[in-house]
Amino acid sequence: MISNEKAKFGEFGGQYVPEAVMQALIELENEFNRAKNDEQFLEEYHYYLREYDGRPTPLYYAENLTRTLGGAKIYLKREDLNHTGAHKINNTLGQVLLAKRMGKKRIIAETGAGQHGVATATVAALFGMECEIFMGAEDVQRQRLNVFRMELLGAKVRSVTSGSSTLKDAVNEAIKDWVEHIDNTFYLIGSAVGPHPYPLMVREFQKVIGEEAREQILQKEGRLPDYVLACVGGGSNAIGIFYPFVQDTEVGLIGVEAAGKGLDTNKHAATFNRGTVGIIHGMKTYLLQSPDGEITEPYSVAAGLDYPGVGPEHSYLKDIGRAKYESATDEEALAAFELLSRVEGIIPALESSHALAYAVKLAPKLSKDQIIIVNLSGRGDKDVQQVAKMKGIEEI
Amino acid sequence: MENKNTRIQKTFEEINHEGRKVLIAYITAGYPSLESLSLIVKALEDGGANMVQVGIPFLDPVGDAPVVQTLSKKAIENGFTVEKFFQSLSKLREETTLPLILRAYYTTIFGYGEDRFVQSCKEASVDAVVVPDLPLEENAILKSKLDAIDVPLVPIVVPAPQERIKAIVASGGGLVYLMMGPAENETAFVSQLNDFAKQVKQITNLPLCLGIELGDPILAKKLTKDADNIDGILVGDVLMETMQRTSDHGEFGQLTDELSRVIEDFSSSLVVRA
Repeated sequence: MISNEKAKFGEFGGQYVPEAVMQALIELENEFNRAKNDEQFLEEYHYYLREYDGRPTPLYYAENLTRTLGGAKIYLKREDLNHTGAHKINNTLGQVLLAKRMGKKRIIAETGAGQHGVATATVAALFGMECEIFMGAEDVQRQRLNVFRMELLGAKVRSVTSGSSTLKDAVNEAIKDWVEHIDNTFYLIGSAVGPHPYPLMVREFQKVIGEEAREQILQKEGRLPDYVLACVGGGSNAIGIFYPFVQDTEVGLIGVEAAGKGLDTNKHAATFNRGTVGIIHGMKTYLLQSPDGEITEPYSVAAGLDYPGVGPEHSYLKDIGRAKYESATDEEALAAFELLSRVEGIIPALESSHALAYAVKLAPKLSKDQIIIVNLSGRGDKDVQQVAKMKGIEEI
Repeated sequence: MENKNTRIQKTFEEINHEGRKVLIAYITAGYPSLESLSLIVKALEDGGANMVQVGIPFLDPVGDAPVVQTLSKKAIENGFTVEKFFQSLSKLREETTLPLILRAYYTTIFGYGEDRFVQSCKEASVDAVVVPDLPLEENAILKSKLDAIDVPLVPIVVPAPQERIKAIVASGGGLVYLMMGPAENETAFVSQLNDFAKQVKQITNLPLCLGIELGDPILAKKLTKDADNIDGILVGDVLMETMQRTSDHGEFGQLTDELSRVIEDFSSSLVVRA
């Protein structure tokens, strides 16, 4: 028996939240359902995607990388070319327009490393809304540059000291704030996670990636790709590129999660490869947890991947066998980061480098007439300092 | 669902009949230790609590005050497990006749296993279960399992369309917790709460209890005087803050004395008529 079916992907997803939050979710769901079928709303969304964000992003044939790996043809979906440098803004633009439509004046969001916080502060600035970003106190210390960026964009950064002072606590505090200020506040979730309707809504605002990629590959190659690869933390860039290919069963969908220091250490964020089904942030999904359901802290060199859960639609795609979830270690991701920089002149985000790392393994095993699309979800400028430090280069 | 739960029902009937509001004392288990649970409950009973709500520690309690998170964290660091908890609860059941309400997050229940959880509730003779993160949309499965052992799932309602409140109340039993956001001032709060309670009273015979924390006895007194549609109040944060303060600095005996004293302040504020 599956209850609350409209909110679920198979058994996953749902709304495991207090009743006070339900009131807010019901309001949001109703408005989202109206908006997604409203031509005028969609037109406005696509207007900003085009004129402000710079879509469509190219599907670039990475000829040098293809030659280097000596196997399948590799195409890169250039989400790194979005305004603010990653796919995140597709979603924040969609949600801020929804907030505007609902008459909300204040936007709140959680952020881990600060990327979603920056993308949120950006659209809040664009639409003249008050903006408050909840960020774990530890992350505030570690990501001072992004904190300053958000402040520059007019947002207030609230340092969260409850619990373990990390992303999951920032989410908890943001939910509390939302319930207390529901009249004027919109909670803008950054990944395809959380209670219904968020996973569905984020997918709707990210599916533009896959829609474009599908059309572009048909144009360039006259056929669909053999594989689509994307990194998976919460899974928004992955669901965005996967979704329009789900019905094309000949296309292999592969999500790549962070194996950190290795799957057999306790330092990874490999939700599918090492997690079990449980409840986190209002949804049922695979997650890293103790036997009593307490969340355990994830780790990855890529801050955007160290989330202990994963979007519920991915859990569903995994269980029905439509998508596979592999992993890449820190080391493999770093190697791919350097490789792409050197052979293509594109510095990828450390997150996206995990998807690339898997392409490095996969491509040589395939024939030259096969095609892989890698979702290059973000650019790596934000990671350059961290990589230099890891390579022992100080003073940059 | 009819109020099958005789222990809870009887308590409300008796206490309300005496012209008092029912006082539910809420604490998180496992702090300062699981072994101390019985003594803490005894102290609360001595201080005048009519029912006890025991929470299972959980690290991300979105429906609770920060102190619950703090105590939960310490409890878990000290080796708390749900399995050990149920052993303590069974022992507690033998030592007190007060109705026991168990508060657990669905995350915990799911992690422990729903069937196993329900079986443990049965073994510990729990009188009711309240799950703050399991709304109407998701509660059917757990509810059917609890129905089978005659333990009600306590409904939590917030101001919402009447139809929704009706459906929520119909899906649970034992008592109803009312939650409400803050108001401009105390007088407005009490009056809004009473109106809300009146609205809920029209659709259920279950006793209504204020599910948000009352920080001080003076407000409890005001509520007793002016909110006649409320049958009971919940006191938790202030108890847990007391536990945290005294156990950090003193002897365990001091902790239980303090708890008794704090709950007594509330208890003596809840008399409607002498």
